[in-house]
Amino acid sequence: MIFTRYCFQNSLGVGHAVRTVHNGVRTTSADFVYNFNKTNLTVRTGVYVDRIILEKNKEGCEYKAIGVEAHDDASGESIIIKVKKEIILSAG
Amino acid sequence: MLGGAAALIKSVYDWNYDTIPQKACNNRIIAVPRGRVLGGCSAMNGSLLIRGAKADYDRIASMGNAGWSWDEMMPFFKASETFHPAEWFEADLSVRGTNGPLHTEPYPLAPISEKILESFIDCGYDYKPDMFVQGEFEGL
Repeated sequence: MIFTRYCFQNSLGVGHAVRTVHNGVRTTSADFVYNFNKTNLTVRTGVYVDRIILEKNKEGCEYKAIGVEAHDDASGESIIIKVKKEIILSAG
Repeated sequence: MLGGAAALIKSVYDWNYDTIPQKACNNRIIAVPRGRVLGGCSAMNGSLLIRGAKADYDRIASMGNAGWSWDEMMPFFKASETFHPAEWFEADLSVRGTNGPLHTEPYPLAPISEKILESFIDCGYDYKPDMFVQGEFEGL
């Protein structure tokens, strides 16, 4: 695959972009969690987050995220996940 | 299967997002495929590994985000990939990883693409084989 990059009207080069494919198999960000050695990781698939639960915060900031409200896509069951430390929102 | 990537668009593996009508595009609605699967878009896209620009990471760090500069991110970039070299490809091994979960590999060009590459070089572009992981497309 060839690409060029532009800086305003000045060309900066042409090169190759490697692929995340080896021996015909695609690797993805999911490979960071497959075969993950630590035991403190739980992956739930088919669960969709509906909202982040915010709470009025006394410590200066107006709101603090304390958990997420989600649901199981298959059963429709509502799931509340509360956090002690932080929520990392990865939305594409 | 990478060759079938296009078939994943508008499938159950796609969030099926559409833009609002775009004034500058004759009010066309544009599909925005996003991966609805563990692995996200990396499980349905064209599989190209392209890092962000050094200047952007350095700017993020300078805005008060310690640890996000290009040099500080480099160990994590490297840790993310196992690069598989190819004889024809002049890799910059100083920025490549050898033991990460993403298995990356250069792919040889089709003959017509070789000609296109030559034509870009003829037009005066610098040939920088591994430029897409070196962070040097400043000003984008």
